[in-house]
Amino acid sequence: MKKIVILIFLFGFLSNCSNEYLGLNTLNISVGPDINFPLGTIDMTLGNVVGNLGMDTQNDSTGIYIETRLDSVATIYADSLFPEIPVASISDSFAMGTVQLPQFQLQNGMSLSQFGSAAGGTVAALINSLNGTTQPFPALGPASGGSYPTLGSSPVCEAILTSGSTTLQITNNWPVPVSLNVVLYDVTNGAVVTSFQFTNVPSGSSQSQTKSLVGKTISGNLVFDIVSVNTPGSSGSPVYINTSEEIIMNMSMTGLEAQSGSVYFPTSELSTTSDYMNFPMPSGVQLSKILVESAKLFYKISSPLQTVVTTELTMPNSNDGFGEYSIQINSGPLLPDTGTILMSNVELDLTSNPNASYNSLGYIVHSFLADISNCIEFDQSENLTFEFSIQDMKLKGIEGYLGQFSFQDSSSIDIDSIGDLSFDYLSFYEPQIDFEITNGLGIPMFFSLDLDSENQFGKFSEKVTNFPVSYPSEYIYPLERESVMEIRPEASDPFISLPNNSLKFEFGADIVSTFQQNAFENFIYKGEDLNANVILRQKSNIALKNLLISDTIDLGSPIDTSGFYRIDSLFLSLSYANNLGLEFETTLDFLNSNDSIVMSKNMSLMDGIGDVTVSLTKAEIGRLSEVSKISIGLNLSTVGLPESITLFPESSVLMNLSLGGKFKLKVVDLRP
Amino acid sequence: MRTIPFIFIIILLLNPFQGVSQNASGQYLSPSMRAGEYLGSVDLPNFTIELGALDFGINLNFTAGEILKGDQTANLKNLSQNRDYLIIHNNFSSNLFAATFGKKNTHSVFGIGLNSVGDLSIDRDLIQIATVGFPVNNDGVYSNINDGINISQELWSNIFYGITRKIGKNSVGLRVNYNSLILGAQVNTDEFNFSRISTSDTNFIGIKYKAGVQVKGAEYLPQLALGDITGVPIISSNGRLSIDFGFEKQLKDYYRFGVSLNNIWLNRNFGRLTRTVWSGDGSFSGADYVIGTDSMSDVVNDLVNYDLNGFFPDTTQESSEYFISAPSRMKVYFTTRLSSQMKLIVSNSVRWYPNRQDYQLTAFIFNKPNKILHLGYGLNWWLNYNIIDLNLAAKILVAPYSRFSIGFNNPLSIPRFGGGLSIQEGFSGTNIFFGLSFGKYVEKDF
Repeated sequence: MKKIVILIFLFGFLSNCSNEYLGLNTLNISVGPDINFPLGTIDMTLGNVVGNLGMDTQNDSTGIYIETRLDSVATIYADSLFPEIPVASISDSFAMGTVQLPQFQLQNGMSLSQFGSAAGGTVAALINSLNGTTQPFPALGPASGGSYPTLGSSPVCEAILTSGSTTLQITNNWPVPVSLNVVLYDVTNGAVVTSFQFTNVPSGSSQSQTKSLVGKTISGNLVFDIVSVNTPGSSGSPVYINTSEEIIMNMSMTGLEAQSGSVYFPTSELSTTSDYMNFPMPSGVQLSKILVESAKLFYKISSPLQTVVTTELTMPNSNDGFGEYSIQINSGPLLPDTGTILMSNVELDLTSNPNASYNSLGYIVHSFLADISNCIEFDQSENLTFEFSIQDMKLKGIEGYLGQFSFQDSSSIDIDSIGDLSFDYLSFYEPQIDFEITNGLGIPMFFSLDLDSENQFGKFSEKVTNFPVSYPSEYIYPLERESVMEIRPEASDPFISLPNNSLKFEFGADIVSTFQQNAFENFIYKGEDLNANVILRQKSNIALKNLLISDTIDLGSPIDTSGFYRIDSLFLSLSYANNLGLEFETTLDFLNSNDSIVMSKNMSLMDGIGDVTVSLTKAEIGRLSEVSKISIGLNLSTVGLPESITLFPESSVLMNLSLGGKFKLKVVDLRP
Repeated sequence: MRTIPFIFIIILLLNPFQGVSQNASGQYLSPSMRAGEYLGSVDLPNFTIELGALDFGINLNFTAGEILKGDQTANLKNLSQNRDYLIIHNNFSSNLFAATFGKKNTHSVFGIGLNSVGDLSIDRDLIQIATVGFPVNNDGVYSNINDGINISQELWSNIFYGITRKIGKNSVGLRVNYNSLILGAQVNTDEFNFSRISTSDTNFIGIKYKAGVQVKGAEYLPQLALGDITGVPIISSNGRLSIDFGFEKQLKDYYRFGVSLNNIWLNRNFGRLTRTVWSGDGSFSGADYVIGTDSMSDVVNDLVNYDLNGFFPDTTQESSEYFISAPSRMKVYFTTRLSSQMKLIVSNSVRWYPNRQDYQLTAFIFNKPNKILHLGYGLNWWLNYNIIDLNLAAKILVAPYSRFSIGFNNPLSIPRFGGGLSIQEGFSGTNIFFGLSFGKYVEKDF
């Protein structure tokens, strides 16, 4: 039994000798779990992103379309199509001619006493003694009766008459018959105009005599000169004698027509002329209406009259906004006979000439005297002339036909890159180029375009010919008509591929404005232009190789890693589902203050589902203290190069980011 | 033949497997404990009275060296990978007084005992979160549903009466225990669910947990800590019954097969009490940023203002009931005669814990070479953790009718206290057993 006990304790001792005693105060446990936390989910779905690119985008089941709109890349201004309006002029004149004077009366009377005074001597005394008596009237004369001014209004100041006559009527109010010799004397000219001889005019009766004035010159200062008067008396019969009784002289001027001189014009009218002013338009240009924004109307008016002559130029059916277009020009002494009138906002009707449907402007020239209250000197042989011309016409619009003509233009664009982006190549497939034309020009027009795109994959051409541009056929607002000229390159062509892509545009426009081809007249109005906007709708069908996007984050100073001693490792993990159609190669360069690379980390997001982790070892974490900058390089390529891919709105890359690492955490430390 | 067991012991000593302490040998040397553990056994003295038969042990399912030797962090990680739980278990069972009496075919045992069972288990998955972390697998998923930390420590008394009766070549036994819970404390993790998903379409971290503590008889804890049992209801009127049951079958001469069921609680519920609960339920998916739709400032704002309160424990009180943790257990055993003084007992037992079952294979020899000294020696094999533990017990006739029993598990691996606590690297627990028994009895020959 002893043996047993001894053996047990012996071997128990031996066995336990092989065991080491461990102090509990050596307990020191720090754990370093690998932990990671979700940073979040980043969902980059193209349908969401492209809307924020600052461009117009559209999405549908066929892809994404980025619309770039270039406004007013081509403009045809209306005034550039206005034909040059040549100078149009008119010239005319008319003779002044004779002036037909109205009938007028001159009169006066010679009393018995006036006669006595004129006779003088005993005769005068005798007559004075007879006054108021009834007795036989004695025979008297012959003796001069004196001169008597003509009383009454005369339209003549001085005139040479080509026709007309004068009639003198004598009415004897003396109590005895008389015989008279009367001379019409022009005091101004000191000449006898004509004379009248009346014999034995019974008392209380009248006699008349008419004399022609043709070839006579008369003035306004005429007198009746009674050369001789005699009477046989009453032959003894007593008569009542009143010496104030007169022999009345009444002269009538009729049918006077003056060929020159100075007369009171019986009317202000001088002349009225109507005719047409033709515009010598270029061939094929047939205008029915011109809207004049401004033009210079030159005039020259020559008048022989020494008075103001008013010339009125009227353009029937033409309108200046207030009514029929008309101007008045006063010319004459002290006034210029030439000048310029500015025509403004006048609509000229060029269709009033029955002999010419187009390009002919009707006008009326009306001349008249501004004032006829004074004698106007004239000569029938002199002419009144006028000249008008329209120059320097600026148009607001035209109606009619412009004829046929064409013009061409060309331009080229070299596209090398997009911004500062760097890539091997970036090819765009299926661009849709629309020329959106808004046209307010009322003329038929056909466009043509040759578009050549040349890049590293070759030369690709698109051609459009005789594209009819919509236009307003009638002048009814709104005038703008829209039409779209589409260019659709082949879907398989990398029509635009950067870098080094040149685009060449050759543009042509054919205008066909003839009455044969248009039921309605064409028209062009200033401000109603043709404007072409180019809309480039680029479908998200691209091939992209190595697009490099890089940026550097300057941390300002080296990273403070004083608290990193607890970190044994760090990683940024990214789980992704990438059906974007793009693959990403990301490079993170950790730089020191001298821009030298401290370390680099790469991360790739391939097509499909995957995980990628960027890890930093303990040593690398330690080197973070050198890092002052982080350079991020993102290299993108489309999947399946060189074939293109289509990016759809729902194309997306879903990235779940996690930040993790191994952190040293003290759990228990019983060490003294 | 006699040397075989000694060689066996020597081999075991030279190959010091980590042991789990259960002094099976000592228990077998105590008639009252033998009657409690091997309920169908009639291999009992006719009359004994035992005073203060105590069996105390502390068991680890790892050794001190597995933690303390070398890289302790790596050790902890390895332990969590090799074990489903890290367990520290303590057990104290005593028969303060027990009387065993009976005749040839019927034996009874009556007594009063004081028992304590403590168990601390930490789910390895919880430890792995701390040591390994939560790396996602190839599918981008990390899921950790674990039992967390569960602790129980309970002290209760029991008054028991058992009877064993031989029926033909078989025998059956029944023991009824009236249990009074003196002190009980439980920390239970009701739920610990941690998940981390990092896939292309899901980025998520979430935790949901709930744990609570409840104490029964907390009002007696201060005075019990001072050893003052005044007023402590050792025997309570609010006790609960449990029964133990067993039977043995004699297969043929000297070969017996038996089954014992212990701690079959008729009612584990010791009444209502208030439980303090800590719970949290939080998840975080990071920022959800849809480029082109979301405002970055809004995203940052969401991140900055994210409410983390869900992750932190919310302390509440809830009404609960105290169910005693003391596990039920079953033992299947086999005995045979090696010689007239030696008997081999081989058993396999299972203990049912809420979250685990512990299996132990035990083999020992009961040797009574003479009247004065009885020996028990053998081994326990904690099958769950492959821990083997040697035990040795002796019962000495120290005076007429008086025997002193003492037993040890791993007797030389007891910690040293000088200069701080030092533990042998192979230490996985220890056990001590001692007791006094009185009676004029002679263990029968086998």
